[in-house]
Amino acid sequence: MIVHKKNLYTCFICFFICIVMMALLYPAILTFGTEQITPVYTDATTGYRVYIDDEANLLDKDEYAKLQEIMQDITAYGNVAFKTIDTNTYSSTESFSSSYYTQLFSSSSGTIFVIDMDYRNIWIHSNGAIYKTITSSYADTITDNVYTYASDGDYFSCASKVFEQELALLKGQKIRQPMKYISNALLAIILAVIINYFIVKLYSRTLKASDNEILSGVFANNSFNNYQLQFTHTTRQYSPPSSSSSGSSGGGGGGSHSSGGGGGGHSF
Amino acid sequence: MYQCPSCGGGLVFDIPTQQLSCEHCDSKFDPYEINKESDAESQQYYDVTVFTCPQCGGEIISSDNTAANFCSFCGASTILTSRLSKEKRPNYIIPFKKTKEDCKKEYLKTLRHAIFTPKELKSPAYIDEFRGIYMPYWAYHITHRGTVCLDCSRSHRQGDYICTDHYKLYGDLNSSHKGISYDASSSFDDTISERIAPYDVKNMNRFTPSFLSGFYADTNDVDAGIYQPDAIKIANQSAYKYIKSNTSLNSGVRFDTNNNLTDKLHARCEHVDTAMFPVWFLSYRNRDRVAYATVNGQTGKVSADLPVSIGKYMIGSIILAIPIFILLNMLFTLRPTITLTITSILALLSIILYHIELGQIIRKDSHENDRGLIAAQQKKANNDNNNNNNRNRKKSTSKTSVAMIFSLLIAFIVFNVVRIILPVGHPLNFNLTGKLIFFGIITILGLIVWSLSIKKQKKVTPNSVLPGSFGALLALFIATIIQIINPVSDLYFYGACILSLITIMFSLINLIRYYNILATRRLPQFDNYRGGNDSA
Repeated sequence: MIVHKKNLYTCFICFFICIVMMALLYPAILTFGTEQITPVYTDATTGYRVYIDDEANLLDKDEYAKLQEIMQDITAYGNVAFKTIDTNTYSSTESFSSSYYTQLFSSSSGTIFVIDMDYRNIWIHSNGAIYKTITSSYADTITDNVYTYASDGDYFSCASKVFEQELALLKGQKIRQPMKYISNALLAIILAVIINYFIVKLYSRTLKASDNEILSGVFANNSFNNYQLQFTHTTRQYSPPSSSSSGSSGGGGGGSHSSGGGGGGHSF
Repeated sequence: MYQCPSCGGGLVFDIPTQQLSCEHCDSKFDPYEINKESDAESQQYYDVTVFTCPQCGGEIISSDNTAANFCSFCGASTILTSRLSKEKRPNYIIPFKKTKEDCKKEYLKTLRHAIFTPKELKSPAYIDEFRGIYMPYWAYHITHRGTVCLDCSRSHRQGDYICTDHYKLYGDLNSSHKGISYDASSSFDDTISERIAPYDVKNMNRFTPSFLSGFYADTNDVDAGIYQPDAIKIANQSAYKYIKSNTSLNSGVRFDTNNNLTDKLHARCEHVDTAMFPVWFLSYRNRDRVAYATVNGQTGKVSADLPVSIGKYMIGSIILAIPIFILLNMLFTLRPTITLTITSILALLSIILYHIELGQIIRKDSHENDRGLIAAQQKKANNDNNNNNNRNRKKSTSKTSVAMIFSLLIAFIVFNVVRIILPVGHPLNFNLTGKLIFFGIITILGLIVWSLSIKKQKKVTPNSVLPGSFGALLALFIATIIQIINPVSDLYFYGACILSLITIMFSLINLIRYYNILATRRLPQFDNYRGGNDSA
């Protein structure tokens, strides 16, 4: 018995050590098999970093420098990264972006912009405090505004416009969304016409009088006397009591791991 | 015209005092005291002036011989031809209780909600045209007398069996329902009389022609047998409900479903009285359509056909669009693909609404809910076209449903076969995502519904070639093509959205135009009095 207790104690200690080790090694495990990327700029005040990884070689040196300058301003609000890829092993640009974001910034505040030459897609992914401003809707709007640059092969303009518009939003400024207003206006008119149609149909309905209402206005006399109930016969129907099982059903499955945040993108 | 015994002036029925009032000396007389005729024939018939509309052939009668210059049925402003006649006296009459002013107030109260109605319908001059007309009604007296036998039962469990004890409830039923009423004029649409019902027949008076002074009356031309089964059915339900609620049965014993109550309860129609019920009647004519507003002259209940003014409707829609636009901008950022999807759904919705509306117009114009008119027409034409029409309609509706389900199934199979058979990358093997399948299905559905509208459109407006929902169908096609091509540039999506929304707008305007047809009625000369001179 004593031996057994000792083994149990040893096992518990080993398990605890394993857990602590895994927790310490977690960031390393996440980045295992990927290149170690170094930030091109770190904000001295906020500690937020700028990453540029032009794997697909879409920028020249000048463009690289200019883009870094634009991106630096965003570090006042969070981390920022720009990534281009030639090959995407993920199922979508969105999946890659989400995974890449976690590698770089874990769950801290930040935003990344990905140009995926494999899927011909651009994507913005944000998380933390920045995501409160650069929401998925705004990510969609920004990519809608810049995808044409990517289509024309002007990747620098595409990326710089993305970060400029993100910065504008983070500063509390507005970005242009002309097509959104035009289509919303037309949609609103059509919806209003249809809603009004249903309103007109609703008010044009006049219900006919019910039988009770009709009867309330007639001379009615009823009497039912000398009634008696006479038993005639009995019928039997086979119906065994249902054996319903008791107890609650199992709980739902656990949710999949998510790094949080979100974003939007556009093909080009 | 009844004359004042004091001054010889004309007497008219005064609603507030419920007496005949002299237009000159304001003397008041009991309607039963003023009797022009006292011979035996006057016990059965009374003298009237029959006014006939030269346009629609509609007839109304009056005890006055003052020229009538307006037809309430077709809304024509014309001098009605008149002739003297004798009409059979009804048994009872409910005199007008609501004055013309009361009637106007009730009508305007109804119109308060109808913000899109043409302003003419609210103009004082138009509303002043309300005309008091006594409508002929059949008042049925239904009795249930005798020993009835009803099925009852009680169920309880015994092991694996449910045992049901069956009982017969015997008792002496003595029930009487007097005054269950249905309109007896083919000119008066059943749908209107059902809406302004009920009348309180407990306040019926014995008929005397003097009640008609100052008013018009319609003539009775629908057979009493038409509504007798309905009257018996209502009386049966009432008597059965009474038995159920006033019989103390043993614990657990319940009434079974008792069918064939007419036989079980010994229902019998003792007799049918003729009665005159008061209706304030107003008609609004617009080209070959007429809208009626009717007010129950006893209770003030209103039934009104309410067409809409397209101008007012569009202004109202633009005003409503403002908060919707603000909400859309605040709550959503709709991607062009989503906007195009919503546009397609709206296009399909407008095609379906248009199709439904055409069906409603056809049903309304065929008066299939107006049994009084159908019976009168059958009596005249002695044929059963209407029954055939009903049967055909039911057949056509079921055919339509089968065709739609079948087409959807075919579409689904075709999409999937193409997807499986053709190799990936084949130009015809589009990336058939769920979205594309969705678009394919709604486009085919839209096409089917639109095709079915063609036949209906010809019935409603024989001159028009294509249903007015063509714009919406076009929008569906545009949206689907863009979704299949899936161009990179959003401009194509936005362009398709804008084009689709404009074409849907045209369809919706047509929908409103057809709503106006639905909200009004065909002129009676096309139904009742073929041969009337519409240009008179």
